[in-house]
Amino acid sequence: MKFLEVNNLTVSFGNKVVVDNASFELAAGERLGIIGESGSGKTMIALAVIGLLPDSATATGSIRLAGEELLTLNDQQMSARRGNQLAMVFQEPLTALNPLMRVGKQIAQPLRNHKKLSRNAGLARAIALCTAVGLPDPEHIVRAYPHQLSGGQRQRIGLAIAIACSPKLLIVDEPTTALDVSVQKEVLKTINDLVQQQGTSLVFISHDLPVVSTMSENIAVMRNGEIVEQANISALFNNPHHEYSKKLVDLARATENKFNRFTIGSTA
Amino acid sequence: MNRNRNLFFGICLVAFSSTMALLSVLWTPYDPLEINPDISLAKPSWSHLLGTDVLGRDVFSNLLAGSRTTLITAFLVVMITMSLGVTTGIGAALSPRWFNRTAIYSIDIVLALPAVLFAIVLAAIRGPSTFTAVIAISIATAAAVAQVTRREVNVLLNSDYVLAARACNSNRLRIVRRHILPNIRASLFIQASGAASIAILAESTLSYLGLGTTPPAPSWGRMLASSQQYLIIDPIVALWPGLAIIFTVLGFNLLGDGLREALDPTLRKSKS
Repeated sequence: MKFLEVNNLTVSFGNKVVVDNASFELAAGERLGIIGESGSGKTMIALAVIGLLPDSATATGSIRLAGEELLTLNDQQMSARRGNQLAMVFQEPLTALNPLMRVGKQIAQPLRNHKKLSRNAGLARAIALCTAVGLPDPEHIVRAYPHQLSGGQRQRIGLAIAIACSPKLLIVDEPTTALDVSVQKEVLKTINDLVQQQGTSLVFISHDLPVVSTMSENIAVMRNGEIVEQANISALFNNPHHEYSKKLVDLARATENKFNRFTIGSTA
Repeated sequence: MNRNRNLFFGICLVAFSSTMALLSVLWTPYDPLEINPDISLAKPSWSHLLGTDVLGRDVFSNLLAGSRTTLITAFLVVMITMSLGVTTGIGAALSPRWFNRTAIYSIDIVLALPAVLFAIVLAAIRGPSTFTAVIAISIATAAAVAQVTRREVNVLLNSDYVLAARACNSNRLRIVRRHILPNIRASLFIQASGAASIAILAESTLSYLGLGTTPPAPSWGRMLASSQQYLIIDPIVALWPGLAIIFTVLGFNLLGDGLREALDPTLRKSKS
């Protein structure tokens, strides 16, 4: 039995099927990348796993976390597991934080919800978490409002909220799409370091193959709601089966070559 | 203070009318109801600061006593409107779709009723009084507040940060208290101050029509109504209650605007 087992997951809005019969699994401490273009159903899989699909969506199939079926849990039972066993980092650091609440309070929120920490203990943990996600000057940062922080800083806050209760499964949905390239690298490194330190399982969602390949051992390629190929990184790069995977790999190679040429040119 | 001129002037104006109301409880220069036909429509003088009306009543004393009616009306209307409107709005947004729909239609029906007509019906049933006016105004404004609140809460419920809050085990009550109420606070202040202004104007209107405060209790609206008949002989009598209404309404509007600015961290200039 693997840590996370998703079997024949189908998510639909009325007649419109957005995730079609998706199955994948993930061992404890393993990292899985889900790649696909926008609208391919990546985020819907993530929301289904964490139980936050919109009310108008229906999910069938099976999602088992550590042997426990999640799809049949009611909202209250699911809520008790959110943040605690499984957590999520959202795509948009600008909108995923409450604009009128100091970020320290927001980081402390899952801790206060789950562990019933006092306000001061929560704040102390928030400062420690800020340090853990690589934010400088955490004593000041926790007193700031989201609009006073940069995009990269905000995404680190989002990460701090997600890891606050040391979840066993972390779902990260395009965490760096809204950030510029140099900040992207640092945030990705932070995520990687944290996941490896704590032995967290990671589901990393992105449309960017080079990014996914640094963040995972195995990759699921999605297209139009279906998982068209699953393989580990080297197998996918060396021998992509599906038409779409081939295209992605070629594209990644082309960018890599361009990048290499650029670095060679600049050192010469 | 330069940063928030609205709040400053708003507080000043509201404090000024509140002081007038408080003062009138303890002291007025003359008995506001005392009639003295000998000095009918007297010009402002040292003995009668703002002159007298057609029955020889002291205008300044009436203005002071009238502010009490006005402010109590405004206060009651704001309380009823906000508690009724905000609970309905949030409740509708959080409830299942069929209830949400029913709430929207009921609110629309109340909004479609002309408030004055509603007040006339209510006055016919209950008899005109300040209380009748308060109820009529409150129901009309509460519907508007509920509609705006429901819409804003709906938008927030779909926001990323509410989703993020749910992703870390915040229950509904907590989400409403920590994420929704603070984020609609700005609009609530605007609506509360708007309701206060509407209440003052509507109370004056209803009293003017004879549907609100009943004579002989002084009210700014009634003072305006009675001075209207003598507008050509002595226009200045109508000026005072008119000015009092204008400045109090202005005060509440500025207060609402100023509070909104003061409470929004993104509008604060210095880093806190």
